[in-house]
Amino acid sequence: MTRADIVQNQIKTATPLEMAKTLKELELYDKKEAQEIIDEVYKKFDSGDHLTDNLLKPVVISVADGVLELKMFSPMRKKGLTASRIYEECANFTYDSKASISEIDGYSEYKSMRDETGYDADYTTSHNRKAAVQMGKTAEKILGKKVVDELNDADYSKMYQGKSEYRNPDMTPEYDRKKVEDKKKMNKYKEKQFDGKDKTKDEYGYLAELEHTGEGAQTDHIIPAEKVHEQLRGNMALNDEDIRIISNDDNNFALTSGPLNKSKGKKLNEEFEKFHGEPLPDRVKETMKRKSEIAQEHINNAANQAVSKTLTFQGNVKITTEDRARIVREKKRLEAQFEKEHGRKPKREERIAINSKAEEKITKNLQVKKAVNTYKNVGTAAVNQSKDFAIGNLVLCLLKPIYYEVHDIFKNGLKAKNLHASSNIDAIKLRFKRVKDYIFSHIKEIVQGNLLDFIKSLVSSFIEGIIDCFVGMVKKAIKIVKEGIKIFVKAYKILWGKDGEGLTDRQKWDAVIKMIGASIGILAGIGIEAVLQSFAIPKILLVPVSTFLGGVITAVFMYVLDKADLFSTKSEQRRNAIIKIFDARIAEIKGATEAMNTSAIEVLNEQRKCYDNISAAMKNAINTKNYVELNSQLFVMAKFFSIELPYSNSDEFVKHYDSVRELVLN
Amino acid sequence: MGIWSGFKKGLKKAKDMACGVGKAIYNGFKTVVTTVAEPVVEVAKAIGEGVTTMAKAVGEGVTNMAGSAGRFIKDKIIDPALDFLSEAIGKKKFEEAKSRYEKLTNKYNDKRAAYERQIGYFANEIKNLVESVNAEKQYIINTLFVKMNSVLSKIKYDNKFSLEYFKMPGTKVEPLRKREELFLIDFDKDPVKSYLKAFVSLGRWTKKQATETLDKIIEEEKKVEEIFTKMDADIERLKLLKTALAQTLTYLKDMSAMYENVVYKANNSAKYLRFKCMQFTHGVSKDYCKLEALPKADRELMFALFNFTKILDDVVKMGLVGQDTDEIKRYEMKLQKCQFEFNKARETIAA
Repeated sequence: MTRADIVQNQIKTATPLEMAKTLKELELYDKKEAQEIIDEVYKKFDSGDHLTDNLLKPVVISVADGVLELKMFSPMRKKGLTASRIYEECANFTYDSKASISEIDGYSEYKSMRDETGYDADYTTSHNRKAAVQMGKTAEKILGKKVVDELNDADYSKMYQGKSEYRNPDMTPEYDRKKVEDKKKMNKYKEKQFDGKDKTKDEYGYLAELEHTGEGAQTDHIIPAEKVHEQLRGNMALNDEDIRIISNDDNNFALTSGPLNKSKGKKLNEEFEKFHGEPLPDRVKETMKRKSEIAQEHINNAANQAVSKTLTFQGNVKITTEDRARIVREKKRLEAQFEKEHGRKPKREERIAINSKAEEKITKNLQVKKAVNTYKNVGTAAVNQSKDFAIGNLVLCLLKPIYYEVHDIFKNGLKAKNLHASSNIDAIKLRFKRVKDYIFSHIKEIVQGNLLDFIKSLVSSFIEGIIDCFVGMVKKAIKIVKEGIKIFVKAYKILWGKDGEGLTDRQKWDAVIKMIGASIGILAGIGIEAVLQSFAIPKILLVPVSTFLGGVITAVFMYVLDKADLFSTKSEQRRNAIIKIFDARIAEIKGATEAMNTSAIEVLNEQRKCYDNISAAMKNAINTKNYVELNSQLFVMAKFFSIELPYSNSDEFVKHYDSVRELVLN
Repeated sequence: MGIWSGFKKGLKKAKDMACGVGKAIYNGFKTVVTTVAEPVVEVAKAIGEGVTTMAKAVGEGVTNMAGSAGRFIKDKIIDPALDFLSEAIGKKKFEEAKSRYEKLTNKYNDKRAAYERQIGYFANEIKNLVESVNAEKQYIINTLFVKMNSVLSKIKYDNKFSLEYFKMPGTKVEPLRKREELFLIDFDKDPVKSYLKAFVSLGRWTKKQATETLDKIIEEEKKVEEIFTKMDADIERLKLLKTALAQTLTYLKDMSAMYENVVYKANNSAKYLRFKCMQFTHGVSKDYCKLEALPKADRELMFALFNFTKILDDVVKMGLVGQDTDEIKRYEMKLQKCQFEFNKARETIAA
């Protein structure tokens, strides 16, 4: 019942004598002061609930995200089903909302793509095992008996050689010294350093001089070739030849004493602390560390150059025996063509030219093949990832209404009011029906949305795969540029596109800032992972910890942004809430006032009319001495004033009056 | 002599002739010169004026050009730049907030003054009506009921009545918040601090504060709108209260007039005399004092008198507007005193 209805009711039920009192006591508005309303709204907006929602929840979800990064949950993560995404989608779901799914964040995409394209020894081992078991089963079928009783990882590796259908076929996954080390280049470097002299300086500074003879001087790989191979073996755009060239670059060589080089072995310069049981001098360690940093930088640059060349169809290729045969065939063909055209055999210079042309052509073919393979492999990985993401999106679409129902059961009980269910079974049936109806009514939207997302994800994953081929700062820079373009596109859609429909300018800019904040979180996750790699964190915990820390940084950043409220969106929301409340109150007061006016005037007029009639009749009765009529009008008057008269007729009164000594009026 | 005089005459003639010619030549020359000089002078003057005008024109032109350029620079470059800067640091929003707050303050003060005037007026009117109601009630109890009692002596009534007291319902007006409470930034009162903040934060922080200040002003406007609505509601209520009270007073006066008439009729009817006689002889014959001995019409009249008395008694005992218990106690004591004196006087008369 509205206040206007209450007021109207009170006035209409008031007797003529109660009218003034009723009007005086009418509550046209509540006693709360307007300032109290404003204070309450301010208090609500500044309440601690904000802290729970904006900081505590995201941090807890980050913990969950970190846990889901563990290997046992990788199938979920590969499908883009992170704790934060599931929570965000499910918590914001209503049956009225669209069936669209949020995009997967850049860090998850980065991790997933890395799993698809990068070399993972554990994965390779398990993949080998599966493949070998399959081969074993096939062999058993053919041979009709068990092939082997027991196999270990090395056996599997030998059987299957660790090559998958989409991994880089031009890369030997296990380190082969013969394929990577280039003795010729190493010797050449040594000779260059001696420059025809018998002695030269030790580049690490351990010895004052190095002798040319015997094992006095040896060329050391500053970053061991095995380490370089380990760093780059998962790179889709590189092959064995690239790694050989990169490892054996002069910038990765240092001439030092033979015993020291042997003692260092496969260790990195930073790991090499003792020589012959004695700690290395600090100056030597410093020199070695400095050289290591420079060498790593050169290796990264060289790797990035090699990747760029591959992608632009100019990659390094190794001419094999087969390729040589092809060159010879091509040369012969070209010579035959020359003879046909010129009617004579080519001269010496012309033959040299034909030879280089043939070599060039075969080399070009190999380069094109290498590039095509790279793109094909990255594309396959992108398709696989996008398929996984599409499955994840579908799962989320189905999960959301189910979560909603479960949440509603906990919040409002199984038989919630809005269900209008007669029993628990009925309630369950209604809830299932609701979920089913939602899915079927939105199936088209879900499928269309998924298709679109698949295409978008494919493109993004492909780009991510290409970015993953690069190393070091270049990779990070390209990643930042990619994220930057994504941010720009999203920002454009919010500010001037349909994503910003219904939002005020302040809300749009606030959304853009928060989106930038979220992207910073993504880059933080990647950055933290890189930093944590330098600490001795077990590999199994590396990604979970960096995911958790990335999530925490994002949550804190978003909390700070929210608190700062740079575009005053909170102030705008608060203002709008206050305006809404006051508009409702003002409308209520005006309604009540209007109702009071209308009813009171109507009732007062009615009452006056009624009284006038009674009064006229009474006066008439008095004047005409018609006291029976007078009494009857007095009864009407009594009823009018809601007064009870004790006697119904004159006889009763007279009889009573005469029988008592006194008659008390009340 | 003749020759000499002739010579002298001739000489004189020649001299006169020469003078004449000379004069003529001179005059002619003068005329020519004058004739030539004047236009030359005119021309020179004209040229001079022309040059002056041209110089002036050029000068003005230059000034105008300089002025136009200056104005152009001002209109097209400086003003837009200042405008942009004001917008960027939030000064424009601050100015808007300031202007709105000033308007709001004036509006509030005017409305409040008008409200208080109206409240005063209605308070006075209602007070007068309440006093009239009280007077009417008093008249009914102290005069009319006493007269009635002389007809129906067995009727016992409580001669207290509910004293009407009107207390104005809550008309306290909420105050407007002060400027210091609303303005998070003030370019007028703290210009150095404000501009420094703008400089350090590249205008973002001051614009935020100015925007939020404007939001607060808008909230205050809404609050004031509610206050005004409450004021209007109060005034409407008081108008209706006055009308209702006036109507109640009319009822009372009308009823009291009719009652007086009925009492009068009961008292003055021919049959009342016989009733009166019965009163005197009641000690001899009780039966003659009973109402049932009266004719039907008179019995009806007595019944009517009783009914009317009952109605009026309930009416005067009813609080029509409100009661103040302290005031009632004071009045009751006064009434008791009057009653005591009245009874004393009655006894004296009876004696």
